[in-house]
Amino acid sequence: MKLIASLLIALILILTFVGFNIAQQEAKKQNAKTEVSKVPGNPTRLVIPSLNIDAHVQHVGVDARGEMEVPSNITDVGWFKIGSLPGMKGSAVIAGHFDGINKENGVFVHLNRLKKGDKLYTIDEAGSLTHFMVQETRMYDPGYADEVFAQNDTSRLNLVTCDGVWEEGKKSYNKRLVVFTTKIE
Amino acid sequence: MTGQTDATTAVTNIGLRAPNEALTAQLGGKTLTQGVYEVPAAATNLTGDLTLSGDADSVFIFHMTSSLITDGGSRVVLTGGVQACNVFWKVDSSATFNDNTSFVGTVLAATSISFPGGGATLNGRTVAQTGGITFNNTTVNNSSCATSSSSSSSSSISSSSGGSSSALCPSLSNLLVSPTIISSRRVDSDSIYLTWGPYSGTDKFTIRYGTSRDNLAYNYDFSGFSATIDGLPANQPIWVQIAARNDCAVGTYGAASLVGGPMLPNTGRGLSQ
Repeated sequence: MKLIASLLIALILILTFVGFNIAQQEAKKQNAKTEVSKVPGNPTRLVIPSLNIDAHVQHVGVDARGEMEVPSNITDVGWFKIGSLPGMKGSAVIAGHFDGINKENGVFVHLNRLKKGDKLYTIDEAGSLTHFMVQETRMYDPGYADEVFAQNDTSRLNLVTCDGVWEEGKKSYNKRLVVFTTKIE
Repeated sequence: MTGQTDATTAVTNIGLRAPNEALTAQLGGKTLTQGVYEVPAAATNLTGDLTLSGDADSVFIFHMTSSLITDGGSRVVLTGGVQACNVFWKVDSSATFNDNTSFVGTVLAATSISFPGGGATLNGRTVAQTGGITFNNTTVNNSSCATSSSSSSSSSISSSSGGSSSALCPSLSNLLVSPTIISSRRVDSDSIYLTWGPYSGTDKFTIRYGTSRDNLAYNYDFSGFSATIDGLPANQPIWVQIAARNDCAVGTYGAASLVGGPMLPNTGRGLSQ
């Protein structure tokens, strides 16, 4: 009986050890998956539930005058592809039209309604979501606004559109509205 | 700071060398062989071409007793295998290189160095002891000596000056830290300002920049931990990365960083702009 009991105990110990190893390996695999998913790809959609926005993301650069390019229609938004990816260190910047050529509403016409604490997210080409929370809204004159594109340690997504008064001679509104958001886990 | 001390030592060493020959102020049209030359002040010191003739070990030292000023389009031409790394200009006040000057050598200026006209090329290095270095659409190429002759040219300098060649060529072994850009901003449409660190044994750096992360086509050498770069492609995003260096080699570049950004986009009235 003693022999059988000893064998049973040994068997239990072996099974426990094997089970522990399998569990460890599974945990490692899970960690690896998590690590991979932390590196975002190029953004494909921007979703802002509180404004009922679910927009396709175009990739835009800089035009000949040095202005950030805008998306080619008023329903898409444009991600500044020279800057950071949404979710990575630094400021990712996404612009959207305020209105169309016939004064129809653009995708960001109600961007000024976003309040601190509102949440939004981007979806990348792999289908991964990166979440952000609104921190503040600032108004700028047209021109340079380096802090919007700042490459510091904070992972931001900054949303840009027009505001103020339409100036027919300049074919431009006289203000720019920027909503600063930061990444949340 | 150590770098400033090095520069001062280098300038002092060169200044201690007695001139072989005192030249007239205008160097244009001359062909010179190796030697130590003293050049007085003038409204311009170089119009047209100055030719330096010799071989890979020939060393040329010019002591400008006041300023060094070049005319637009002037050139220093090397013949017979003369190496840019063996050409030195000790300037007792400031050096000014006007537009499209094609210059050669290590320029050690007591005060400042400027390239106001744009389009100039320097095959060499710049060290300003107390003032600033201002570039304007300037191309600066490092002029490292070929391996076979660098030791002989260095020893030639150290033995005749009685000092150590380390003033001009300290060890690169301590340049282990790749610089990080601490802050950067756009000054105006074609100018940026940046600061970097940390100090890791030198205050000499090479700044590489361009309009995209993958094409950092321009570079220049700088002493200190901040710089204003003028004459950039106007209204374009500027990417910058920095490496520590000495006069013989460049360390590992830090990560490329976007300086500032573009102007905010015009998103009103559709695509009417």
